[in-house]
Amino acid sequence: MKKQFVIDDEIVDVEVVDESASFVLFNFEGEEYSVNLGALQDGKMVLNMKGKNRPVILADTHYVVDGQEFVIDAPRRSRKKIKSVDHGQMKSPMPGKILKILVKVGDEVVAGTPILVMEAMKMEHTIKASKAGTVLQIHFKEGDQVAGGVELVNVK
Amino acid sequence: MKNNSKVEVKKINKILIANRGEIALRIIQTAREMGIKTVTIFTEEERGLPHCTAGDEAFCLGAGSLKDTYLNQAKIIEIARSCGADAVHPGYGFLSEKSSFSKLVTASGLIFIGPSSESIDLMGDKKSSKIKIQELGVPSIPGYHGDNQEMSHLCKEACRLGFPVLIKASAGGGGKGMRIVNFESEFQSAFEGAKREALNSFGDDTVLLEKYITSPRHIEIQVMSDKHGNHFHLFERECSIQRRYQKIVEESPSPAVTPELRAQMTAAALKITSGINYIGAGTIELILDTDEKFYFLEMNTRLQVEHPVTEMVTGLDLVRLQILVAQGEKLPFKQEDLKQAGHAIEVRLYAEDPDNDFLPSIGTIKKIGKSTLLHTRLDCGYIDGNEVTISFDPMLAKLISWGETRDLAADKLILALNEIVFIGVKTNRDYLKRILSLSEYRQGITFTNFVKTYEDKLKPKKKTKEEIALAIAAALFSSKINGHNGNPANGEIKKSADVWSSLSGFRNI
Repeated sequence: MKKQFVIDDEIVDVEVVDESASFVLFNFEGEEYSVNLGALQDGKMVLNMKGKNRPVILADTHYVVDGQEFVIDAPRRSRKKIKSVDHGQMKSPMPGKILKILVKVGDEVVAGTPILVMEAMKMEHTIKASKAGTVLQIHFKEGDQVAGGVELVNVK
Repeated sequence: MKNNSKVEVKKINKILIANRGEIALRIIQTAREMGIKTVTIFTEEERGLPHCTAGDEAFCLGAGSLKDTYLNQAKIIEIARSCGADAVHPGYGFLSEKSSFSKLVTASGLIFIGPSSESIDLMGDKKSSKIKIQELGVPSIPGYHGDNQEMSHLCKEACRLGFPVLIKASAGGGGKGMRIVNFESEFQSAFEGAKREALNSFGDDTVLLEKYITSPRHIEIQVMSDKHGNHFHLFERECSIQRRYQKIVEESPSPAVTPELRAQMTAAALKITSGINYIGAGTIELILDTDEKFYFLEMNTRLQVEHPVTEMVTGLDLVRLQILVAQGEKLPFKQEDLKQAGHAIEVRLYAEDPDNDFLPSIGTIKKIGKSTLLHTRLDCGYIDGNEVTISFDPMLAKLISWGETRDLAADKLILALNEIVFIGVKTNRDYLKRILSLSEYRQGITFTNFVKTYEDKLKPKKKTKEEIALAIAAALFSSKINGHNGNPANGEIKKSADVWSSLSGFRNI
């Protein structure tokens, strides 16, 4: 049976050859994998592959496999996320206060040019241009409080 | 307190903890061991965090900024008095190094678990502490600590010291209001940034200049003194690995400190504590240059975030010692009884993105995880379901491992970091594992510029095909358990999430 997952924003195709309650055999990128399910409790499972025990800790779509974190989603649920395109907006990474604006409308910037300084969690963070272009709009002034994920400037 | 004066021993029965998070829980733990009751405080938005309910009593500080809550001295004292506490433990940060607070606590007839307000004043100011330290014959870094704060004057002083130069907030700490200046041309913007940050963080924009040592190590000596004039050192910690001027990996012993150097450093530390008649727990921070010369950096007159590594190598409980000292008791050991056994390493788990300039992150903690290792300790102020907000420091927890050797301690800490996962918030967990695995770290090549120097080697590794295959297997089993084909959302976890959301209403009462 063919199955599709989105692992860390990448679509992954899997062919399940055989499976039972505690066993799966599948093909992935031209290789066959046989994995046994060991213990399962408290959101924790232990997988056994080629004799090696690998602990997996789960919560929602997050899987920490042998210490490495993966985000695994069904394809339909995450399609929108994959298609996100950069429109030249520099967004606030988190809620905070605008301390200083370092550019003005009309300025030419390159990727990495410091745009403004924000304060969040008692620390200063410099927001840099994510691409080259001209500053078209600056949506805030110094001293403004901003929410997280808000467009700060528009560069085109 | 004079060494020969009679010290009254007064048993503490109830401690108000003027702090939050993991350090509040840490203090409660020891207080319980000593049969002492504890009182915690919290803000409206913190309801549901473990420190709100972990003690014997808890009182709400209301809502508002830190000034109205954890820094509101009058309100905290009022709570302490009305609940019948006889002592106040300030933890670290917040009011722990505010002499006005220790004075107010004492004036209210309560015991302050910490040093005298004179010691806090003396050491809290970077200028006065440097002057005192020079008097005591301990070397400090060349610098400018004068009152003339004009840009042009400071720039001239910087040129005199020779670039690179460090600009620091006089009242500062934790890297806030601090800038390295490599060239004269960069001075002005760095100066303005440092002043602005200093004003925002400490309400005081006085800065000082220091000669910047290019490849330093950060070594600190834990000290402990009682009211009977006994001064001890609890060996060193190395905390060189920092990002944004904040420590992220701390250990004891330091791989760079030889027995001879240790003897010199600890002697210098004791010269300071006996020279200023210090009382309680403190930390003498030193800068170690590549030529084995060391300089006094500052003294922290409080319990340190990284105190657990000292506890693990000495077998001592530092909070217990603080309480004994505050009660007026003699510290129950001699210097030669104290030993540094094995090796302990602490990592600080932060809600941040190490692969994007260590930008702090927020979110809901879905799962913290548990460590199954012996001699591994998690000091954590959160439980599953808690919200990480921007209101407080982004440190989530400290994870500490002890091993007979440094390699063993590091190996165990990596295993523990596989179990303490903090799912739901972007953290530096994987980044800490990368540090601990790096061969340069294993060789002890740890300077304060470690993070920058090995930036490329510390980039995330691409996941291997086998690792992805395992993740696929996990998703396949998970979807089977959940009963949906191809939908890997985990049923069991959903259930536990629901438990938290239904509990939150209850906890809000």
